[in-house]
Amino acid sequence: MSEDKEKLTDYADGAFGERVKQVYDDIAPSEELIEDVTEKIKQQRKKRRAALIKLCAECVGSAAACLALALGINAAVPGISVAETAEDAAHAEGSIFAVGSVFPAAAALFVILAAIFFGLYFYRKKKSNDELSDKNSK
Amino acid sequence: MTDEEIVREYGNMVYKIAFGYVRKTHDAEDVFSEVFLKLFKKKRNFISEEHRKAWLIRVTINCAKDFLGERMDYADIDSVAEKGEPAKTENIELREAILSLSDDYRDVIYMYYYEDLTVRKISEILELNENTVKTKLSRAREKLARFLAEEKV
Repeated sequence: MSEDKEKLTDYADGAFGERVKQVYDDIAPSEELIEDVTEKIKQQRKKRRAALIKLCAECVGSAAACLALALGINAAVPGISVAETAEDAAHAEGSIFAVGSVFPAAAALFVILAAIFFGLYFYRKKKSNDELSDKNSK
Repeated sequence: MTDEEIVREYGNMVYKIAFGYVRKTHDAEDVFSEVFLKLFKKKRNFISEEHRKAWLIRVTINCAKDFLGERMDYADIDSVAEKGEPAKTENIELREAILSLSDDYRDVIYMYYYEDLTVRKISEILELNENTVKTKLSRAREKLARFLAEEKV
């Protein structure tokens, strides 16, 4: 093995890897930078959420907007809780929403959807029973 | 993981890659912010942490390149290089050697030695052939060896 080759082998071994790690260990972000960026991310989310709340309030009525806030916005913006969204909505300027109205509205929608679902289910079941008894009677 | 946990988990990696390109603390911080704001700008469905890591490496490289393209010519870099973080005395030569490597060589050195990624994984992240990564790794080592040998003379 030539001298050059030996040198190259040296640079491929674990000790060299350790030295490279040490070099990169010296290059690290400051705690302030991490905190600053985390805060910027929070602010970015808050802005997007505020824009969505405004859009909801402008486009839809109060009850529907409340539901959209609770269900839609929460799904659209990652990492945001329903309570957090509702709180922002309650504090939004000129907002007609209250924190407490989001949950009853969501519950009301759930009841309505459940009623529709079960209504359809029983209607279809009754229909198929009627058809079956018609066939049997013939 | 919460936003803060994600920034803490991958912040080191993003910063180190960015610094390798821009070589100034403030510029590396700008790239760092941009990468994380991009990550959280919209809902992204990563299938695993490995997937998120690969996405962050690629985006950091792209953001750093864009940053350099916007702010200055690559030729100007040498004049501002190595003004950022203080290095331990024994690592100064190696650090200079690593920072003197071209971007593609430095990226593979970082990913292979610091992130302990396999050649296959590096090839997937950089969208290169495995043999190309091996060649780059070998040439980068060769350049480092040469640089350090010259420094000692």
